[in-house]
Amino acid sequence: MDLVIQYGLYGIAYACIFVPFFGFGLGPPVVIGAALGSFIGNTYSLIAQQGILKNFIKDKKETGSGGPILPLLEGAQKAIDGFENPGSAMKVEAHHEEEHNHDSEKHHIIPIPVYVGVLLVLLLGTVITVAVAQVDFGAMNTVIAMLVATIKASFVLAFFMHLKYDNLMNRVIFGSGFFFLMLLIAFSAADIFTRASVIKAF
Amino acid sequence: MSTVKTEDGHFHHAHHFKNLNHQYDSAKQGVWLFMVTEILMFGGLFVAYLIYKSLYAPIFHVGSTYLDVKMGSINTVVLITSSFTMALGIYFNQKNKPKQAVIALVLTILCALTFMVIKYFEYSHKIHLGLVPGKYFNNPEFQQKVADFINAMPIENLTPAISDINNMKKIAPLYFGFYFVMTGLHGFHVVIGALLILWVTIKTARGQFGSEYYTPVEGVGLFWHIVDLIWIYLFPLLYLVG
Repeated sequence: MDLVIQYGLYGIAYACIFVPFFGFGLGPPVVIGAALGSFIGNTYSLIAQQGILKNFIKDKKETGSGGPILPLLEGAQKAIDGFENPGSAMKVEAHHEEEHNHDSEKHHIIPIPVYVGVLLVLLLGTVITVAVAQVDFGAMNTVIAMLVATIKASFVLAFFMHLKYDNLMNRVIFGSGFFFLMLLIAFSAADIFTRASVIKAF
Repeated sequence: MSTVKTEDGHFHHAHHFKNLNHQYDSAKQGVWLFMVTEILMFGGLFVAYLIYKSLYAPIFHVGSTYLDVKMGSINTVVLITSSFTMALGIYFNQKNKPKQAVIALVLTILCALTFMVIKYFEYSHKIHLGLVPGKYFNNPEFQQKVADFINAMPIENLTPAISDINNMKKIAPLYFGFYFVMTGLHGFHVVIGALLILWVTIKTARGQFGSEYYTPVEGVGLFWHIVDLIWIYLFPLLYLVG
């Protein structure tokens, strides 16, 4: 759930940057949507993982001041527990076991077939990039090429660079670097596309 | 060295770390921070490319026709393959198979050398034709092609920046400035990366790595993949989308 919050915040930031490009018709709904989504995710994580509701129910039971809504809240808590982790008790045990053995913990090893699969995806991406460039789609050529390149880059990052199985810190470090690059590109583009007259197609 | 193999085949971590895992994570985090600076350094060039291409698109369009897509594509495949063998080099170190790891790493170095040889042919061809940046540029044919291209454009598509034909002829070497600086800086990274891979290959061959400790291989691997990553963007931008 921490990830949802993290990425929700990134989502808002990205949406804010893209407002000048999408125009103000599409921009604000995206920003509001991302903000609402993050808010809901945040509230849910407070209830589901940090046990705010659980503590509340416990507190009311002890003092006997719950009133008629207490059974309702208990039902909701149970439903959330069931949804969040079906085998919760077992998972907690296993997690503790892991923490104790942290010293001898092995790194995640990606099997060779996955690497081969990534290689094939990258080669296919190269073929697509070269093939698409032979056809004239006007301004869309650049967009398609960058889209394919970004998909290829994601595969390299996730599997070759092990980011998919890396700790959160490294992902945040990379994300922040990429975020600031996006900021630089977005504001430069916003400047050049609004101030100078730019050729969009020949 | 901070991490040495003991006689019973285990590795000692440096005293300021809790354990080997802690040391590995810290080292890797440092490499990731360095990767961010790399991304931002190339990012500056990409932004410059974006701005100048937006303003003077005809130069970039004509310029990209002077690059050999076949050589660029081969180089892309070579670099992607080298990324794959680099990942295998790490994999075999994780699995305690130094022999296979050395083979994978040597293949990676060979791919890097192939890349540089192809780059050499491309560069020498451009230099031979006088397609170099700045005052050394000496190819009137290229300038004429840019002028012809602009003259052939529909008048309503002309912008103030490109409608001055003489000025466009004068700044036509711009494209090769971008080409040589971007691919040059990238090629420099390929050479450095190949030397770093040679270093970890020698260490692997001497049996200094194993499943417990292979941090330098992982770090060099990250660097090598970033080099591949940058080429994935450079190739379409310079060779394909004109």
